[in-house]
Amino acid sequence: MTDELENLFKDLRTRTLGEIVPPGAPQARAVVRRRRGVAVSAGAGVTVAAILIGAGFGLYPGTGGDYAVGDAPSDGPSSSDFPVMPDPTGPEYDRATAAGGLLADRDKTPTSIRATQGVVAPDYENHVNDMAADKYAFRFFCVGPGTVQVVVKQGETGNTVLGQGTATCAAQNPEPLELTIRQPKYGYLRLFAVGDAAANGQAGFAFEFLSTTGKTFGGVSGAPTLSVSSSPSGG
Amino acid sequence: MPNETASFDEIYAAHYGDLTVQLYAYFGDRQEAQDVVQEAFCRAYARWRTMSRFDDPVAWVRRVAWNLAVSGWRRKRTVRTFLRRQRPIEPQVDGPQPERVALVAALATLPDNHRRAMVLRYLADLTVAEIAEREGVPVGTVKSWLSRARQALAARLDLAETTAPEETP
Repeated sequence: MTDELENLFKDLRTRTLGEIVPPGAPQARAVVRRRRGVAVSAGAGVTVAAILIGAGFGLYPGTGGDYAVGDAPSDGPSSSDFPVMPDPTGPEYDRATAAGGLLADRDKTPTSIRATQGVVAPDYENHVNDMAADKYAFRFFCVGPGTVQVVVKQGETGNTVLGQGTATCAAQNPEPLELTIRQPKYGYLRLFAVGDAAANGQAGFAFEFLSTTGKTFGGVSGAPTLSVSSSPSGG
Repeated sequence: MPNETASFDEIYAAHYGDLTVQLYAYFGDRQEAQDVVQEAFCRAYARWRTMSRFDDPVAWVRRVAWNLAVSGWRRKRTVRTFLRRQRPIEPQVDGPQPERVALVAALATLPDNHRRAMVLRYLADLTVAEIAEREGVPVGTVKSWLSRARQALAARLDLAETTAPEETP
């Protein structure tokens, strides 16, 4: 490998590592606990049904009974034996998907789009990296109950507010919160989304930044990806 | 169990960043990289009693994260093609363009298997033999991918190109 190329990889690794803020292991455990709670509720219903019909049901790890902590250990597992588990399911994730479906049609949008979707949480924070100096049309959709307070700040730190507002959620065809965001210089944008009691854990959201001047990002445009409510989840 | 929690926390702390860098280099989207690595760790924790018995639980997390990202990547492939087609006639982004952005953009032009080999070799620090095993191809094939990838990156980034001894086909 060329020394220069090797140095570029080292630089990529070093600089990126220095900027990544992991959501944290406690946050991962909290997500699992929340999902397990949902699974337990669903499992209780299955158990009642099983008793009523006199049949035994067993949750079988890896075949849809996802997120059951403490699967029975098997002999000689290897890291390549497990298939990728299914995506999390539930009405809140369906609403997040529905919100994502309201974003701009990428096949018909000439500029790159930075976007994501997720489930509303009381402390959602997203660091959007590599945002060029530009004027962006920002839209935030919320599907479900409640409202979400949204604030967009400049940079990875600091308290320079570039835009803020309240998104009102609705079960169908919600009106998006629309803001014009002027990013003064290349760098980060941070988005904070705080749901109210009705929205948290129930509503789904999606947001997008579109260049209003037709610029494109140097890398790959971000299509919606499921963001399991976290603080922060992006970088 | 306390030991399980400690073990999970240690592995998370030691590998979250590196896995995110690898996914970012491969997919070009750090946002998505962070999300999928976090999701992969959630899935690992959900079955940590089993996972912690693996010889290399990190390999499992990497594989899940990679597959999650690939599934998302497939959904946006049409968009990427569209953007590439449009890019030459569109205004370019102003402001600083870090070298790493240029590297990630150059990586994005490589065939998937070449890009994957480069990331696993130079960011995940896997050996050629380990990459070959992971990809299910002969060692010589991986050497060929790495060699061609280096040439392509050197040309795109205007670098002098030399061959790493361990990767000579």
